Amino acid sequence: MATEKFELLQGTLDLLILTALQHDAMHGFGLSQRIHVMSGEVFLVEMGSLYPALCRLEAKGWIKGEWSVSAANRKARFYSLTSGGRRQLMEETARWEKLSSTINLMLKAI
Amino acid sequence: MNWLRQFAFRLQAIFHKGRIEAELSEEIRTHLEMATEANILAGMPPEEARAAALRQFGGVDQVQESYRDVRGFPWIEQLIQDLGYAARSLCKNPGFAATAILTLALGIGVNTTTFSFVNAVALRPLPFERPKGVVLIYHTSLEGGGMGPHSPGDILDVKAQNEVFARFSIIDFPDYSISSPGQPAERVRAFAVDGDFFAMMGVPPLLGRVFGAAEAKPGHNEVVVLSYRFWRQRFAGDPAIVGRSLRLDGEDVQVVGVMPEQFDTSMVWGSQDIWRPLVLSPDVVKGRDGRWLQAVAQLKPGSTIANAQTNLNAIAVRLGREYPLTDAQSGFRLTPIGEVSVESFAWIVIGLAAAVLLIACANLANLQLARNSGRAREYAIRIALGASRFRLLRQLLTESLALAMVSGAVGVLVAVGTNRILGRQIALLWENEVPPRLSIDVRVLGFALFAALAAGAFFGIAPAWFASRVDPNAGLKQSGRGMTGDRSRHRLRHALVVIELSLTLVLLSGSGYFMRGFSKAMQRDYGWRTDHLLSGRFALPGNKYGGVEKCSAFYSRLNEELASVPGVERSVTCDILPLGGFYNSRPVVEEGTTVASGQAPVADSNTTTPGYFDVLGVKILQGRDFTALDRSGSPAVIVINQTLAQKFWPNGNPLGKRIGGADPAKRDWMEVVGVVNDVSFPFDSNTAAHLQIYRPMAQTGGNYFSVVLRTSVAPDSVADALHRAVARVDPDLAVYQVASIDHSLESIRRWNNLLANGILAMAISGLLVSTLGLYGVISQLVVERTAEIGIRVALGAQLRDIALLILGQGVRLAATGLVLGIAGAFALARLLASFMPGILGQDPLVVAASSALLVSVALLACWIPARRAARVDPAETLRAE
Repeated sequence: MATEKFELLQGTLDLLILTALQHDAMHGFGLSQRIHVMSGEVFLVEMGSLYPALCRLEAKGWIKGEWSVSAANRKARFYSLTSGGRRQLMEETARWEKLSSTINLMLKAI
Repeated sequence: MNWLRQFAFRLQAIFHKGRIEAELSEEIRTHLEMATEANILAGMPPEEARAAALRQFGGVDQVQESYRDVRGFPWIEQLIQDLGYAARSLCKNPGFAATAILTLALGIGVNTTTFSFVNAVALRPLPFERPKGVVLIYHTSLEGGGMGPHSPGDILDVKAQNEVFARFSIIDFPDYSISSPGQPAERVRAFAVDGDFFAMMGVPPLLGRVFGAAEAKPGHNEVVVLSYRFWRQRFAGDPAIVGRSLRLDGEDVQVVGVMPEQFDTSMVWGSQDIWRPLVLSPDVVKGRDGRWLQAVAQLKPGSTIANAQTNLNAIAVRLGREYPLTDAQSGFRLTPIGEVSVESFAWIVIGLAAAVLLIACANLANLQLARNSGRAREYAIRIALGASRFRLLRQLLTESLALAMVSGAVGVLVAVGTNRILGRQIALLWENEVPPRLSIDVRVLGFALFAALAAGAFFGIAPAWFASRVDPNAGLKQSGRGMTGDRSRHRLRHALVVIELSLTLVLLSGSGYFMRGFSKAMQRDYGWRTDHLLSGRFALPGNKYGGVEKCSAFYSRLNEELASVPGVERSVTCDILPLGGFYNSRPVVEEGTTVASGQAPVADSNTTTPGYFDVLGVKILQGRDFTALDRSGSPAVIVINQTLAQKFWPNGNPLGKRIGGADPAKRDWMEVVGVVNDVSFPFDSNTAAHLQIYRPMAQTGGNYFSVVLRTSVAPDSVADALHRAVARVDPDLAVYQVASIDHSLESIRRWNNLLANGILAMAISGLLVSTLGLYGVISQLVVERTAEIGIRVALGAQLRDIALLILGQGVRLAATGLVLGIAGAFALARLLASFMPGILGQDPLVVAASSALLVSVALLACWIPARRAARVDPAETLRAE
């Protein structure tokens, strides 16, 4: 386990969640594992941030949660992207890329 | 639409709270189980696996807490929580809750009633839709200001010369006698208007039609429109009334319409019986001396009140140049129709009512502070457990506001009760007219809500602030005894009691000023006898009684007729009785002096028939009364009062000297034939003596006048005989406002009593609340110092010493309050004196009596806790340590 913790930028977690849900529906634990893996074991999302974020995204209508049964035959709430969420993901990704390339550019310029 | 979906989503959280929380717990549980399993798979022993999962993912409670912030409306949930907490904590302390609610309800009730009175008489909007751009035009004088009526000459000039009004109506208030065969003549209040008055008001008639400018011409004005009330009362709401003819001052006129009920408003002009087209007679249209006409006008599209005012100012300047004798001081003022300014005097009453609320608030702040010092430990614990200061502050404020809202509701109930009492008193005062109704309408409820909120914030903020400043460390370390709060809080509590006491003294003195001032004003010697007098008013129609001769003949016939009525000693007619004031005044100049125009002294002027001084009991000091020989054609004579005689001829004999008018070209000299004593009237606010002159009615004429009868029996018993006598002289004529002078004085007295008693009620409420406050503070003091007192007693202090110790504290507070209160009371007297000079003003006796009352009640309030302190058993208190 990486002990190093990154403070996620405000709004970044939302983008990570949307990205992680891009292909499959996932439950909360799976999602946190996926983000952990995706980030090269850098980010560990605590429940205290994850669930409020899921709630926020659900309120905005970008994801929706449904109770279902997991592969291990366990009842869990699975989250999936809605069409609005997919659109949002595209927009957010584009914006993020612009932002990060700009910042990279600035960092190199100095 | 996104916010709407979010709102709906969050809203669910409030209604499905249980389900959502359960789902979240379920989700978290699953999450932790999965994490634990993953850890076991990674090779951890099971117990460690779960602990590691919890460590990795954070505590369950924190998740739920932060989830709630996102999911629902946290502030609403917290508000509900706070309200529930407030309700519980108030229920736990019913004594505090009851005291708080009752005292605040008293304060809010007093204010709501005062406001509903002001609302009823001043703020109520027009009962019909307010017509657009319609303004009332008043005459003002440069020196006196005021909002008075116009002279015909002036207002006709304004009507002709203005450039800003599209419609313009001049209004007169003639009184007519209406008669039908077999019924006694009755006086009606009419509203004579020219121009398109009804079109301007925009209210269609209920029946028939209205009249317009075309009918305000001689020969066309024999039409009337009835008011709803008059139609119901006099004609029992006869639907076939339109087209019928009425006899008005002996003339036949036709009823063309009836106005709807809401047009019969007393809020603008007073309620009327009929409307009629106005035709000013040719002999008055040029007149600029007498002012009695009102005017209402509608602005042209595009003009504003401001440029209309500018236009009228220019006309006023022109009139002043052309007619310097009458119009040098004239001006005009516009106010939108339906807008009534609350008289500044009413503000004083409102201010006094507000003082009661202020006392109640200060008292509650005090109670709250006392209670909080008892709860300091609780707050310390809550802060130590992580409650934020803001959260604590908010919770305490919620409690105060909740308390205030409940008090507000109870206060409205109190107001419903007091409104009923007040309403009954007002109905008595209005006698024959429709009294203003004191109702709890939206505006009054809004006011009560506002008062409650303001009070809640006022008495909640300081105590909550102090409570939230609790230092959890110190608060928890100290045990119960030390929790008396810091000195600053004590100072605040003492300051609040001092404010309460001083405001109470101001209120008590205020009510004393009114009571003593009014009763002195009523008991003054007016210079005439008010008992056994009956009076009535006449309005002789100009068409039948034109000129001095015809009027004069009527006065003589009437007095002859009345002389034969049993119980009547003597009767006279006069312009006006000195009851509410002298309405006529004129400049006077003594012969042989030169006075610049506009500089002549002004005297109250009355006209009388012979016998007036005898009937009223006014003493003739020199010379004689008028006689039947002083008639039209004989030399003009005048009777003056003592003060005028002193002013003009301090050393000489006034008899035979001559007095004239201000106009150098037209002095109209009158010879002084008599000097009488000064006459005054109840509520004469003039502190200096009046200059007064009397002229014989036989030389002046006059269509509007009073009859006065000196009776040997109860005056009211002669009223019917008066009506019959008038009918014998002229069956078409009505005598109205028939009442004994004692009765008129009685209604003045009732008004005064209403005002004085109202303020007394406020003062008593204030006294009650502030005494309660003082008692509370001293009791709290005793509780806090119980241990100290126990030690003192153990060390040998006598009962007396302890009682004096506690009493001394109370006396210090009362004395400070007294000093401030006396200063306030003197300031109030100055303020009142500026409104009613000669009636209200400084009255050291009142201040002394109020102070004595306040001090004795305050001592009593301290005595009870002091006695309790003196009985402290030292053994018991020391054991309790």
